[in-house]
Amino acid sequence: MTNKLQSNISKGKQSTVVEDPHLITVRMIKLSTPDFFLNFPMTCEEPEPLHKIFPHSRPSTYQKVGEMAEGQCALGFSDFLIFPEETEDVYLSEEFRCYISIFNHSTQYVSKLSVKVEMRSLTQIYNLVDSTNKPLDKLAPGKHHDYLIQQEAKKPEDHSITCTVWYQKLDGETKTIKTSLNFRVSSPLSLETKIHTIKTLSLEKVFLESRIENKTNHPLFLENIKFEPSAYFEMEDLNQIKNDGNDNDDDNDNGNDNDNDDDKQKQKKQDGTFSGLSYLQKNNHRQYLFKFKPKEKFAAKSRQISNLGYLSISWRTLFGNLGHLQTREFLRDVEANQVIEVIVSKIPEKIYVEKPFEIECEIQNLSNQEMDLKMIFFKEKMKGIMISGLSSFDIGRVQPQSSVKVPLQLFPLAPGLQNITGFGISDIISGRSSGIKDLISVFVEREN
Amino acid sequence: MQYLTQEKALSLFFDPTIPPQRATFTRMDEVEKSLEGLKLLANENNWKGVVHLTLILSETYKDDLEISLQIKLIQIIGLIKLELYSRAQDSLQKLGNLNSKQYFYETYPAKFPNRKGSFVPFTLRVLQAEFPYFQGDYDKALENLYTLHSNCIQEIGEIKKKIEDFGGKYPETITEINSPNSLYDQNFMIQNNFETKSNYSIEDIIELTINTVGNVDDLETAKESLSLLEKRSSMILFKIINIHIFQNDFELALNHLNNLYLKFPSDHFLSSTIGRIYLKLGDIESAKKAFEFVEKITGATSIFSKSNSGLVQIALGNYRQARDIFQEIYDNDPNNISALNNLALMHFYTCNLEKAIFTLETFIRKDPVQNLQKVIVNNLSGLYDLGCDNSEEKKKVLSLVYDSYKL
Repeated sequence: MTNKLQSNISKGKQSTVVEDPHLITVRMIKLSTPDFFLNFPMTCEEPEPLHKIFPHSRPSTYQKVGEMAEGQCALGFSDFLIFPEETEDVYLSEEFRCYISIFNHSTQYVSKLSVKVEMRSLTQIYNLVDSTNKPLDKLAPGKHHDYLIQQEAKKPEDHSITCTVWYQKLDGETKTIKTSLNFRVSSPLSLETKIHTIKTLSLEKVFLESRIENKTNHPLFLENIKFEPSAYFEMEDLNQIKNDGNDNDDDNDNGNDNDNDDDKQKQKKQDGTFSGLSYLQKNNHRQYLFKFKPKEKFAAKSRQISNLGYLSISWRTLFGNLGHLQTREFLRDVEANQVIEVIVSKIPEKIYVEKPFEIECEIQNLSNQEMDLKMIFFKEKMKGIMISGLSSFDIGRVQPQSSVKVPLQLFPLAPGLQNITGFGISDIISGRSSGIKDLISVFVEREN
Repeated sequence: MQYLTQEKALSLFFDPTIPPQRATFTRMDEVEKSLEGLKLLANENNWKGVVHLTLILSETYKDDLEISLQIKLIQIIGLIKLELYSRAQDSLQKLGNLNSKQYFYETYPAKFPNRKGSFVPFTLRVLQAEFPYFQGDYDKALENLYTLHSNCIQEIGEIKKKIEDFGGKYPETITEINSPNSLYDQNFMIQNNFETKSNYSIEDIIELTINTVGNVDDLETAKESLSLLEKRSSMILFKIINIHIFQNDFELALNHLNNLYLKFPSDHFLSSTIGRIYLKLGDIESAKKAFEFVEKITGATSIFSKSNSGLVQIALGNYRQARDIFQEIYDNDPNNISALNNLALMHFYTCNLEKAIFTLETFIRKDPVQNLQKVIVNNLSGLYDLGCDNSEEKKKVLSLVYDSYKL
């Protein structure tokens, strides 16, 4: 092996105040946690001549062994740690470490050494170290005075750490030296969320689909993914397989996976729908699914409530470095001041392509006035499923806070998941209309 | 920066009044021109000498098929150690397909009457399989290693059948860590002194490298073959696991290790390794559980348990506690390099850069022949970069010192 020595550490930019040479040097380096030494093993079989040099030995806690040089053992992976690399990346909410070394490189003593370390971002200033009230009496020549800063990165912005050191030379002259280190805090995860609402005659159901992608350069161990529902909704975590002993209690739709381990106390541990370890490699993603139902007491108002809650994600990286993010609250679309509501009250069990079918809609007048309603279909908005019949017709008068049932003849043009959509309802009396409705999604099958 | 020679570097690094223990290097022309001579040179890490001698010996022994291959193997190992990968590849390619007829005893009935099987040394097969690793093609190396491993498993299956045919038995799980069927070399003692004379004669060497399944005629041989095959299987598996860890494929690595652990439940080294992988991943809880197994087997005060708990403390951010633990291990066992190394790192993490540098330098000075390891050198260089104004010069000195001991 050649001597590939550690690469140069970037020294903090030094902006000296005066031209006189300084007696001390300040070095700053961002560090990651230590890592394990990994070495590809060379092993020889017992009767071969080089066997004693490359034995197939235990992956031990390394002890000095004759010719077992360079941490080689059968596995090449033992408890040897290596000096941490300088990190390029700092990620939001993870703790980063910065080592500051103040070294007296001169031949004289310096006295009254005080240090101030500040971290600045666009929006905030943190005081990390301030020894101005209690300066160090003396720093001998050739000696160090060091700090290890551990700080959580709170905002995805450019940051800089500035270290200002004041000291006094033997002749009484005070000097200042200022060093800074710039870095950028990036977001470790990208989150894409889709919200689906399914309205049926009974309570509506809302599904939240969240795709979490690892945007860092290292794998992330997902310790905890938890959705905290708002007060109005009951949430069901569809990323667990229920193991109550009933096999038909399996409530999974798409086999989305998660190994959520926060219920360790439960005797029957719930299996996550992801197999194996809960970790994301670089650039990999996972999708999580949650189901919401409005709580009983909020059933009437539920259609107006938009706040579902928020997602709380915590992860760990190398040597347990912790990161934690809480999303903003997820809001679903609700139509404010909705006066006309359409829900499906009857729909056939199976729908086959190119075979007409009938559904029944219940049209509700949510206002306090009588309405005279008319239904209009917009052909260009109807994609997979067409209305079979008149493209507009009168529904008639509907009293306030009551509803009317309307049958609709429909014709599916294509198989697969299709939307029944593209129609609107308007009130002739008030002139208000409900806007283009997206009624429901159906699965159109091929007939065998 | 002045031009530095090795001599100057040595005088700068070591106390000039006490001449350091120099590595003894035997020159190539001083050794016996035989496999023994090769072993001597290899033992001193004199890989250039090894490669040169193999060139001479391959001429001398060119008519002896079996020994030629052993020499070839040593040559390729030497080239790999010298990082001369394209030459190593050439050598490997010249050998062609290791399963071709030319490497079977049956092809030479005049020279080897009644001998069956292949005389290719097993390590050579492994080297050929893993060689893409050295060229950066990790997936290809994995593919080859998995294939080789499944061949091994197949052979193991056949041997087990033979054992049953002979009326014998083999253990399903092996609870004795030093059993003949353990994962590792049974007789390898940790404080082994290198012996210049090998325990095996050339005949023995050749006898055991043949394809063992073919020539199994009785229960004893079958059992020995099983033992050998298990070790081969674990040798390959460890390399596979190593590559998986390297590529951060922790799940695959852990799968293999867990399977091994089921078969060797009292092997606490496996358990420690599993724990360390969990630490690498970040799953501290699972790491602790794995380390609990280690404690159960070795006791809470063993070096292994202590080292593991030191690592857990690092994960929890308790650098002082970790430092104290590694100090304790080192105080009880001054030969423990990894404890010393980790201790130095913990000095660093507790803001004592000077002490970290001092610890490593003292350790090297104490016994450079044994203690100048690549990891230590790298770690010390990293510390120099941070702590010294003349870090370039210090690193150069260190590098020259390392060279002078490693040739």
